[in-house]
Amino acid sequence: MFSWLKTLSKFIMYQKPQPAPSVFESGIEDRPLEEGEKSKAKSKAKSKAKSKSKAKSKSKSKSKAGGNGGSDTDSNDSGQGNQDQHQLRDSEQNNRKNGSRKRNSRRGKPRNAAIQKKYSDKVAENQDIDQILNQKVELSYRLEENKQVLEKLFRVPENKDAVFRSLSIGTEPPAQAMLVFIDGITNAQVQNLAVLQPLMLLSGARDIRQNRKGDTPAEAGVFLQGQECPRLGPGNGENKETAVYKDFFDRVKQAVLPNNQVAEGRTYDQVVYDVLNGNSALFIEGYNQALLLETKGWHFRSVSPPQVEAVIRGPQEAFTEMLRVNTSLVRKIIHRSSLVTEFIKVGYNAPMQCAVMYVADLANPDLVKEVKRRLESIRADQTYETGLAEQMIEDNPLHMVPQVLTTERPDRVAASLLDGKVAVLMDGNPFVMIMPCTFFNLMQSPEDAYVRWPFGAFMRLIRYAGLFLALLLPAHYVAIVAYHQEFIPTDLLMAITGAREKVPFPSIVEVLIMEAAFELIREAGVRIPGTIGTTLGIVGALILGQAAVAANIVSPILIIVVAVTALGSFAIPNYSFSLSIRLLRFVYILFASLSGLLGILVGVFIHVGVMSTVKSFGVPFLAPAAPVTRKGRDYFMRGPVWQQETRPDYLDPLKTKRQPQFSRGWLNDGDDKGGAER
Amino acid sequence: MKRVFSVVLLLATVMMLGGCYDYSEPDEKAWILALGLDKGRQNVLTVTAVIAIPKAIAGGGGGEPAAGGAGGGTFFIVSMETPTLLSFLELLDTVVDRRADMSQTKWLVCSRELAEEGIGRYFGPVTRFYQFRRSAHVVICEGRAEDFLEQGKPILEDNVGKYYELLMRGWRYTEFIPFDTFHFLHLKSNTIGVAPVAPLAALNRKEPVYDDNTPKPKGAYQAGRLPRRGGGEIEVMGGAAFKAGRMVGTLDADQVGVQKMFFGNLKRTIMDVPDPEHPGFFIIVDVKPRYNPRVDVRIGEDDLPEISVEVGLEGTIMSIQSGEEYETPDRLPVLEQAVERAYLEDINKTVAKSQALGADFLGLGLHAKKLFLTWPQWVAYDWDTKYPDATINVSVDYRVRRVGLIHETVPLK
Repeated sequence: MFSWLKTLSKFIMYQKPQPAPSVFESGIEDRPLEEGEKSKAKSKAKSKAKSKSKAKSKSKSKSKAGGNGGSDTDSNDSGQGNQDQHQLRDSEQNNRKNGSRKRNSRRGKPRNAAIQKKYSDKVAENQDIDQILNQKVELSYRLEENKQVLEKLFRVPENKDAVFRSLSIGTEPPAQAMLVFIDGITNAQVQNLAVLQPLMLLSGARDIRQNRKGDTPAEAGVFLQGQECPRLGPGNGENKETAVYKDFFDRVKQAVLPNNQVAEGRTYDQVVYDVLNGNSALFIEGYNQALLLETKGWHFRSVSPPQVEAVIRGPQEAFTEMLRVNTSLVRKIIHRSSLVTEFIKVGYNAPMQCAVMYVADLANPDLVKEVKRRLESIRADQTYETGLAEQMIEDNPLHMVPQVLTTERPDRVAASLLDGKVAVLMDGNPFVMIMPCTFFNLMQSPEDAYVRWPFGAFMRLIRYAGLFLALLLPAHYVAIVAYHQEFIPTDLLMAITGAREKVPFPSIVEVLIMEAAFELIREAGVRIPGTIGTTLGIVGALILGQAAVAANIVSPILIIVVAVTALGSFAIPNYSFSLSIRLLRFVYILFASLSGLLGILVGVFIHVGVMSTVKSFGVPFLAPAAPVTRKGRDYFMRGPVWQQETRPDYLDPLKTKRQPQFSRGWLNDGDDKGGAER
Repeated sequence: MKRVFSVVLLLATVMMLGGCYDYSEPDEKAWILALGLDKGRQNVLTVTAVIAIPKAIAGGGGGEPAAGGAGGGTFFIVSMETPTLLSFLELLDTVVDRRADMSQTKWLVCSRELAEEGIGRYFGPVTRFYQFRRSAHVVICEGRAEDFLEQGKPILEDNVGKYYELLMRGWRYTEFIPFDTFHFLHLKSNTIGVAPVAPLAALNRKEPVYDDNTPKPKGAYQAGRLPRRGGGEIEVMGGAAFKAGRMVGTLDADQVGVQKMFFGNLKRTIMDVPDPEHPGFFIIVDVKPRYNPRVDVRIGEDDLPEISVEVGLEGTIMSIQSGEEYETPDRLPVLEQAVERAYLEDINKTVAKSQALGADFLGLGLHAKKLFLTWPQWVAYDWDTKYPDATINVSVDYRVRRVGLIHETVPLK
């Protein structure tokens, strides 16, 4: 009878279904539903995120149009990244101008007005120089002019690092050229043998050899004419071989320089960036381009055993400070053509080279996009450490838990990449960020997988026990000793009471003293110079050991509590997670001292509740457990390797299946195709 | 952000409102390990507290235990004349510097004199007051409880609390100690059709108990009538049967064993059975219940209960003094029947005792209860008055399962 009412209400309540833009953007469900892209463009009050994504898409389309052919060389990538970066920066600056104008009008004068006035000429000069970079001023045809601009950029008479090596290319007649590089971060041998020698000594030899083949010297002069007519078309050369080269510059690039990576730079900005990264820039008189030559050669630590995440079973190598070495360490493990290394320049004042690695046919493209979006949007002054970058890209900076997994183990990165996660490597940094990261990831160690599964599962159990001890044991000690003595077996109660007889402080003070002493020892242990490191052991043992008891400052049972707590916290495999546990322990002690076990329960309730709201790149922090999703055999305990058939559900990878159900082909009597089918 | 902060602040404030209300250090409390109740001399009650001296037990700051072996010096006794049990707790704080706490109390000792008058009224606080544990044992002692507690010093233990606990834990491996803790004492007292049995304890009786050395079964002893020399002052053996909160009689150790078997608390026991073929010799067997006694109750024509009980036991031969070979399959029944006879005698004695006392401590009423459809019918039946006149038939079935480490007896030559 009232079915028409139902239909009507359905009609009224109808909402057009909106596809979610990306699962991995955090807080997407909290935002009001946006209309489609069009209305986004229309709305004048554009949010930051919008403008960013727009700028990115623009730059992307441009670089694609440029058709740089997906060349994988470092400098090419960096060049692209460079462009993107600058476009981004410009758009951002425009944005900021709007914002800053408002801000200035509110505040009045900038704060350092006096200094700006005093050094107004210097400030103006700096701004001029910045304009050269920001506006992407193109290189000049004149060698001398290029030199002057670069000297200005590198503040040369004062700055002794930048080297301007002028030379003449040994052709007939010789061409004037200039090599620009930063001393100390280039490989002098490569420069000597692979750049300077061919240019100065051997460039002519090639000519002669060609002449011997039957070319006339006049034809050889075709290249040299390039000096006079820079835009020499390919059709001009009569010689077959010379027709390959567009002009002299091209010939130098193609035939003279035996350098493994050569790129062309057209703006000062590109040149400066590459030179700062250890490449050498070759300028030739008469060309408004520079050849950017791969001559990186700074000193770096060699690959050494992991210092923080040691394992007994498993590979014993860790990342180093060299980005390229690090990517190679990962690639060494994943022999898969779909493993992609993208380079992004991160940061504002001193941009850092940063590699985003993912397996293209596994990782969810939305996730990759989101990671790149966040990295590219960083406008931080300092981002030379992953820890700094991590703080700029994490979802919830106010929460205690790390939302990005940091590791120094290539095998761990490889395993995560094969799960469909994204890794971010940063130049000059042996720690790699893996995202997204969940609570269970933080409690895992690669070794769990390398030993046989019962032992892996056991180790995990021990680790979780360690976690709970580290977090809750001192709190429970306080709660039970001060509030719930009836919990304690009589003998133990007598022991505790007897041991406490001469201690003048309440239990809570005792616990705080010992915990503080322990934290002191731990902090001092990290900061202490190696040469006097042994002193710390003696002092620490004295404080935490016999002396404190003998002096009746603390009771001996508390020493055990503190020691077990310390052991528990050392069992937590992730450093930043263990830091958060260290801090939260004191909160729990406070709760326990206020209202005993009830307080601890309230604390746990709040803690877990808050933890369940945390998201790491859109993935809930307690992911397979809360919210409940499909669980594999490897989230809390470790199952057998051959049973781990699916990738984590919360990552939404492009391929869900890890391995076929019968991953051990030899079991299907004689039919060993099980492993082969994929 | 501001909102989150204010919520956190609010929660923290709420937590702090409690303000450490119950915070107390264990060394600011006097731990009462046992309480004694006597008929008062200057007031209604004489209440005695055994208070632990933790530093003597723990050995004060990591050194050697202060008490040199005898366990003395690890507790002290305070006796006071009070009108009620809880007023004693208040009075105690005037004598002992630390606040008295009963949450670790193991024993509530009542003198037999007081128990026979009825102790139900003193249990009120025990069931209601949070500091008492229902896992404590109510012990009935011969003589005055204050003397009993004062002289009951452990030999093996430093901690007198552990001494009390372990003494009671004997219920697991001997039949002599009843199982009923305060909890069961309380429950059984409040139910129609079952009566509690509390452990009976006494100080060592110095003068001889018996005048001759005629054979007596070991279970014939009970606390206060245990011929012995040496050992601690305290002995716990046998039970005190209660009815309506009043002690009505004592059970010897064998009777306690039967009582425990009826409740499934008997784990195992050892029996000395007279050798059927060699008078003066004993066969010693290990006895375990095979199943809980099967009790079948019918209400007869005269409205009196007719009860039949089937007891199933099994066990191992531990020793055959006479050297007679009973292990062969054809001879085993001889031995088994001897055990059955001996056990039947025990059970019959116990049943008779229970009917004589009018206290159904075997819990037969619990089996009768199911014959009545409603509680008022059951109450109206008035089990307690009918029980003494009930007809009770018991049958025992004992099987030898193992013969011990000797499979074939060879007589001494």
